[in-house]
Amino acid sequence: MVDEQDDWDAAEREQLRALAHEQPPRELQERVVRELRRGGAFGRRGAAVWTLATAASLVFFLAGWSLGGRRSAPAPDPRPLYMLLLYDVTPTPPQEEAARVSEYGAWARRVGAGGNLKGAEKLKDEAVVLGPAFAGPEEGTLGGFFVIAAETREQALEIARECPHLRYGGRVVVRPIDPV
Amino acid sequence: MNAEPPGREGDQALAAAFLAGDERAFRALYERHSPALYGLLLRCVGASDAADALQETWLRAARGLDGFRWEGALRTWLTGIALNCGRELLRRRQPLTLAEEPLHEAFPGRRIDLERAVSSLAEGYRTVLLLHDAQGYTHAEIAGMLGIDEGTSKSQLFRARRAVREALRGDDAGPRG
Repeated sequence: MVDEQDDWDAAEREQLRALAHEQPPRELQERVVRELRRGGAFGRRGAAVWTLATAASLVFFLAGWSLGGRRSAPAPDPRPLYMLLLYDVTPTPPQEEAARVSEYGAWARRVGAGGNLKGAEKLKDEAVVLGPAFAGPEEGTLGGFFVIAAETREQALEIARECPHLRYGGRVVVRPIDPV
Repeated sequence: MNAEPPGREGDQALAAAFLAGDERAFRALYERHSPALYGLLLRCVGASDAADALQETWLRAARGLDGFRWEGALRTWLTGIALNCGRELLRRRQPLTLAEEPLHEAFPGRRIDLERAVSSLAEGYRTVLLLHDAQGYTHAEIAGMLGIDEGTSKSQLFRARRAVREALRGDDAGPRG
């Protein structure tokens, strides 16, 4: 099927293929099936029957609206926001960096697919501390953060507990964002 | 991981059953093809939109399947639909905000890896690279899906590979910290 040779080594080729193949969230199949069922795609009449609701759903998608819980253009999220601050307590062994990058990315994608992830950044190493020197939970180097939306504090903690950073001895500080 | 799509006979039988109203046949098609479609959408539009784009892909595919002539592979047709859905989402997106950054860039290590290098490519280069080198489509197929000519696909692939190589070499030469 491929019409020209590439110059990737075997590991790179495998990594590329892995990039382009990923299981979608489990609930997505049910959402799709529900939409099709609503449009009369299953049963005696078959998929050839498309109701007005299904056609309207397509039009609304194209117009930037959403139906049935699907998002289109960003809309205000009514849920409380939490920031997950990731502190590096022990350095990452160089030979593990690539694998950890993939692991963090996969976790972040899962959180995003669940509709909870609102932002993420890695921070540069330099920092300016303003005000008095601090002690306590800020020990360690702040390596980055995630911003998530969650219905409750408990849900935010549940998401944070799954962050790979904890498995590698890092510290995750969860703080609610003040909606001033 | 095998990037080859399932056989045409299996897809045709499942499609025929789905068009006759068989829900299980649709689910089988969904499970066969969604990992490749979703993987591509993740890299093209990001995690926060990939699920929506995949859902819309399948709704459009179900609507248009009756008219599909089986001149090419079903996966190729589905991928074309997915890319269109992804492009429509990107056109409606605001300029990249914190919430829309590619998620896999959240915590890179001090050495860039292939995933980050691919994600840093411009959209067009990234799409062609993934379609050709990751999913095994020919330039003719890619040209058909993206509405470009084969020469453009080839030159974009060349540039994409070169950019990825430079990114991998560049960070290896000067690790941060």
